[in-house]
Amino acid sequence: VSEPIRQIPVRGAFVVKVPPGPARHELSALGRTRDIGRDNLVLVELGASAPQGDRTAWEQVLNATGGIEWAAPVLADDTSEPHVPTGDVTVRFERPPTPTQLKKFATDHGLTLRDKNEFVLAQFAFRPSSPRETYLPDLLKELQSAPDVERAWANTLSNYRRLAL
Amino acid sequence: MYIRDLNKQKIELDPIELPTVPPPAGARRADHDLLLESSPLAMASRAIFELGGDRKTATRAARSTRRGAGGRGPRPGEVDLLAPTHGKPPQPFRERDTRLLRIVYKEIVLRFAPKVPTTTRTQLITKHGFVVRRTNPYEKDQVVIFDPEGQHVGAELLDIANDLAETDEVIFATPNFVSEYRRHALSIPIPQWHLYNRGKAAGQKKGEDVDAREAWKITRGSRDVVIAIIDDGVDIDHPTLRKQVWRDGKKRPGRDFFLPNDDPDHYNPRPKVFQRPYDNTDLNDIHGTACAGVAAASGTKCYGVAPKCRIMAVKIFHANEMAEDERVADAIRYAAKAASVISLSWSGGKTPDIESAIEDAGRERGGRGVVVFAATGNEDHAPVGFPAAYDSVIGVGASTDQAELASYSNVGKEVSIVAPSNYGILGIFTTDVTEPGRGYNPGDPSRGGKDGLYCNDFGGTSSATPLAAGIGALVLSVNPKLGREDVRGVLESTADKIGAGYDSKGHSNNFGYGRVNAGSAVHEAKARRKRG
Repeated sequence: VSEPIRQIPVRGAFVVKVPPGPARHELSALGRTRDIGRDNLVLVELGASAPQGDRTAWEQVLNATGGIEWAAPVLADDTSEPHVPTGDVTVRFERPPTPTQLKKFATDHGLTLRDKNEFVLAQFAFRPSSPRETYLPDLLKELQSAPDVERAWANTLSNYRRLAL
Repeated sequence: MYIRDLNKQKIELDPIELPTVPPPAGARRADHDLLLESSPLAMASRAIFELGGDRKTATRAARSTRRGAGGRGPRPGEVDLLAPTHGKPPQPFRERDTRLLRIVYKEIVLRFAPKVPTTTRTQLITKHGFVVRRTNPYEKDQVVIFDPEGQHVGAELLDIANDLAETDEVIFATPNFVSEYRRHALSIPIPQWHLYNRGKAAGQKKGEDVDAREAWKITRGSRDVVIAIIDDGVDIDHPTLRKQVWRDGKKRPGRDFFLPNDDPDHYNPRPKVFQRPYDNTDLNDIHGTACAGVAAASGTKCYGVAPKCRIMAVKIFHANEMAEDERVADAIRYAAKAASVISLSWSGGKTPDIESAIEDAGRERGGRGVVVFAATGNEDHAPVGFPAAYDSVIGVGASTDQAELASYSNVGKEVSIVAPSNYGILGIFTTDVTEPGRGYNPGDPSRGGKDGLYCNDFGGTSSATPLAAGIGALVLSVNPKLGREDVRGVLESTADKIGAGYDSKGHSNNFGYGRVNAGSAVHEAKARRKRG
């Protein structure tokens, strides 16, 4: 049986939502940067002088320059394949919640409902209401241990390989 | 109008007007005599002739009938089929899918389920005033019935046959058609060695294929079995794919999940990104069209392994741009609502959403589960990639026309089966995008033809996957009640043990349970259906 898939922070690698302009340029002082080409997302790989702790490093990135909307660590699965958070999270409940339950859940966890899944009645996508103050790995732990939650994960962008030769 | 096949699935028939004009000029005298007959079969053969069928076949059919029946005259109790028509005439139809002529007149072929009591059989037969004309000499439960009063003939027989077919006691009921047959139908193009390897290319080993011909003796697929190609788009305007394309209730041909649902192009699953060099997979949307062709192309130049199944085009990639896992997962969920089989010729990182979507697909198809096939990867014997490595997915590796593992094919316990692909003598001949100058073959005769509609060097585990998925679709065409693990069991248990290194359970990390064999798999599926 396949092991449950994990999302583990990659040390020293972050995705930052920052509009084009000087702030983006200032980010390069932290290390290598790469524009993802959508939603104003930029990848930042911290240099050798980066703090050891994941959370400390995240705070350093957030405070590197003004204009950063949010930052989150890049996540990896157990094959070390990187996945870039989009800022949203998905929660699948054990059963479809009522509107009241859904609203309470969002309020309790500092989330804003983005949309319900088109195909799965018990699955919803949320955005942190205060994204700058939200450390994604902590939020995921909180959601995964919440009552009535079957599963919760960070929404991510990934590279896919079409396997023609 | 329609009839139902053995799986009680509909075969649509379009009625056509019986011609009343004289035979065309140029027909020989003897043919004239036959064609001018007013008997039902002569009219039928004339219909075949005049509506575009083969004249020799039509004439031969009428002649042989006359020799057999008219030569000696009807026996007591028999109806003279060559007698002049009284009342309603025979009714010709064209099968909507194949365009073949089917002509119905007086008889219905009826097969009862075993152990149906004689009294029940009699009740069903006499319900419409029919009597038994003869019992099938090879199948005791099968009879030919007709209305001795001649009230129920022609098109009306379809309704009566369908009425009978809907009862639990009847396995099938169909008018005893006079039909047009095409004898060229099994002509697999020589470049498609993966379906039927004649050993025509120097060094190729004859017979190293998936044995599609054997499978096609039983089925070439059912239109009710849909294969979803979730990829960078499918060229649904391609001449050998366009008739195969599944459409939703609003006639939309699929979706593009790379684009938001409210994007004007969201319901257009065609390839959209073309960049130089145009034959480069990473930079272009040319991959899904080739995959779709391997699964279910249908044309004289190129066949998929399941040419009667339909293709569902689901686009998730725009060339090599990063894709949102949430959208990829929803594409799988969307496909699982209508498809029986999903083919994924790609790999990526492991994500909980895609994992959940595969599990969601396992609850579709009335709880039997949509069968998901995925490519194991092309990283030269590296571990099997995701989602192929996921335990609910059938991981497909690649073999060659030398019956060897393709040098690039990934290995591990998650390999379920292998299917023929490139890196032997020849690559895979399949469909290419129709956009001029784009695709794996930009219009080079040596790469699949000057028209650029086909390419001859597709490959990788990308090609092996839709081939295996198409065979899975053939299995479900024969036996739609199989669950997704049943389909895996059929494919694995009937695979050919090529190469070496199989353990006591018959598994090899290189070849999985062996090279998938369409013929054996379809026979096994049919046998399981009979066993119930």
